[in-house]
Amino acid sequence: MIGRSARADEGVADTRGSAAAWALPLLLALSMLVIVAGCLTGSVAIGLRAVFQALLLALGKLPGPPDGPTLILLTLRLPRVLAGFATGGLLAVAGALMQILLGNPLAEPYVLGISGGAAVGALLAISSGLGLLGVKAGALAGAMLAMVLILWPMRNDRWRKRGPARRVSVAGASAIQANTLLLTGVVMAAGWGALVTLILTLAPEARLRGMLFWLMGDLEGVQAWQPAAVGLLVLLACTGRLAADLNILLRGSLAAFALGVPVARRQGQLHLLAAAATALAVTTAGTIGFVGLIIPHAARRLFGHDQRVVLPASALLGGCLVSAADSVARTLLQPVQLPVGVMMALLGVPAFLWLLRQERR
Amino acid sequence: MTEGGQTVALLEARSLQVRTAARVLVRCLDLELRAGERWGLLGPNGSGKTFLLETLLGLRAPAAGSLAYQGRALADWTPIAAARHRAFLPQDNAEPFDSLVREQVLSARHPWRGKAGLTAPEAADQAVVVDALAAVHMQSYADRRLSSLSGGERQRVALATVLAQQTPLLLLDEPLNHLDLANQTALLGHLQARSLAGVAVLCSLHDLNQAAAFATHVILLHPDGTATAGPVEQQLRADTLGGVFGLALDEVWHAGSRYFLPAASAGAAVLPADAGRIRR
Repeated sequence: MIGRSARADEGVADTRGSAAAWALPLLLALSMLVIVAGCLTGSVAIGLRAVFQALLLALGKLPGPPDGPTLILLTLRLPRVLAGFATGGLLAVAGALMQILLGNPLAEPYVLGISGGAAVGALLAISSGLGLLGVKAGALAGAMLAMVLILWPMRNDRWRKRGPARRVSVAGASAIQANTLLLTGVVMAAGWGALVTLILTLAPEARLRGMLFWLMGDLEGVQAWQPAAVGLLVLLACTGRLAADLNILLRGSLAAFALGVPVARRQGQLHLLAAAATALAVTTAGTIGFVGLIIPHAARRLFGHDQRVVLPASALLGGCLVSAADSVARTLLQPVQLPVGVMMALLGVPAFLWLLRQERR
Repeated sequence: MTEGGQTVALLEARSLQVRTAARVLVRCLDLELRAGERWGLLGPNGSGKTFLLETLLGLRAPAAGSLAYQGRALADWTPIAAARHRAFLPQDNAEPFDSLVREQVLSARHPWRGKAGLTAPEAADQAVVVDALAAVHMQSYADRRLSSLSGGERQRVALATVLAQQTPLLLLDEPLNHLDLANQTALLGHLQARSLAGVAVLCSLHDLNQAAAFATHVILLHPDGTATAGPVEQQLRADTLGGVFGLALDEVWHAGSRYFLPAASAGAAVLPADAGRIRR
């Protein structure tokens, strides 16, 4: 029972109480740094001068028209960095919420196929000729369906063991076996991947590039960063209101019920928020994996379990990670630009295996 | 104890039926729990002790009959109000996320803190946490992680968490699980002290002798779905218990207390019943 992780964590235990006071300002500063650094890296050299020009332009105080680097910064680099940041934040928070909902620290939108469901939903909406809003709605529907499919067999499992659907308020989610959950998720993810390939193969204008976007995630040619950024802020506002109850839900649905948390309603809200965050992230940047796994784990390690701190910290850390990974992906094999999803998988797969080992203890 | 109907029952069940899809666990149970009473819930494995406790908690809807806390139907209680009235110790308290012992115990203050939350807990709440940990002799473990504790230590933290909720009614599912004999005795002593201070305790137990020493009242769940509730002297009889558990028992008096032991001739009777259970 005494794991290495337990010992390793004891050092940070004392700083827990005041984590909120210093963690978030520090992470905000780090985020600014990563965003600026992301703006400066890439195939075209952009100096700090362009950054200042862009700032002046934004304030409406730039004398004369902006020069070339500033234009590149404003029209290509900055939207890409911000989209990456917002996507990372959405995925990290979605992961943290799913971990609470499923009572399993290994739950994550990509691993469990929620991103895949969102991708299929988005693709179906695109192929039926729906507009931007329709595509987002399709992705949301796909993500929610994927989550229902993950939860459904386990609910039945629980009922068979413990009687009919007589538990009035609580889905049996907390008792889900880690193995069952992960196996179901992996199989679902494979299924969604196959559906993505099928849809793109049947579509007349199918191209390999597009396929990679929906299977792997790429920030190149990102359309707009605003929906993801606004979505992230709304998500944090919503989760902030729920945080006190989420802290109790961490202890499992049974304990939360006994402590007066409206468990069924909170689980429904978690379900909706996690699916919406995943859908928004996927329609912005494709399916990027493992952010929702690595980041909440790191946030819990650093700042403890208070969701008031963990969720915003996850958002900022997730944003930093994806922005930084995209900067590396842009520069590593210049002039070739790697999809950011590849970078995240290269980081995420070993991290996932390591975490799995920690869980088994 | 405080017999008599002048106080409103903390928990009242009328014609309560508890069932799974497959079978009836409790056919009809009438129950009134009052302040100061200590109830033992006894029955063989699979007789529905956990199901009954979860029903009394409000987690499961009863198949028939009615439930009320403090004279008010369970459905009329808000979750927070109910959480200020009764606390529950689940049998399996695996925590999906590792946290510190004091964080875990502090979470029980949730119903009393509401939205203000527990980020900067008040001194009063901290004092409750310290008291609850002291009650199970775990005060020196406050800054340990749950994952570094043994099964018995974790059970004691779970009990401290339930005590920290400070409710007039405690529903405990096998609180003595994983505890050594000294800790079992200490815990029952502590629960007794709480009940004398006006708390009502209902806990499922396996040891008939501990139940006889601890409980003022007993609920007996028979394997056939019959359930009886009443004062301990009426409920705990060698012949009744023998029927419930399918095992002949002898009643022995020692130092002024009653003890139940498997009858000397019981060996032959146990095996067929046990074998049948396994085959089923």
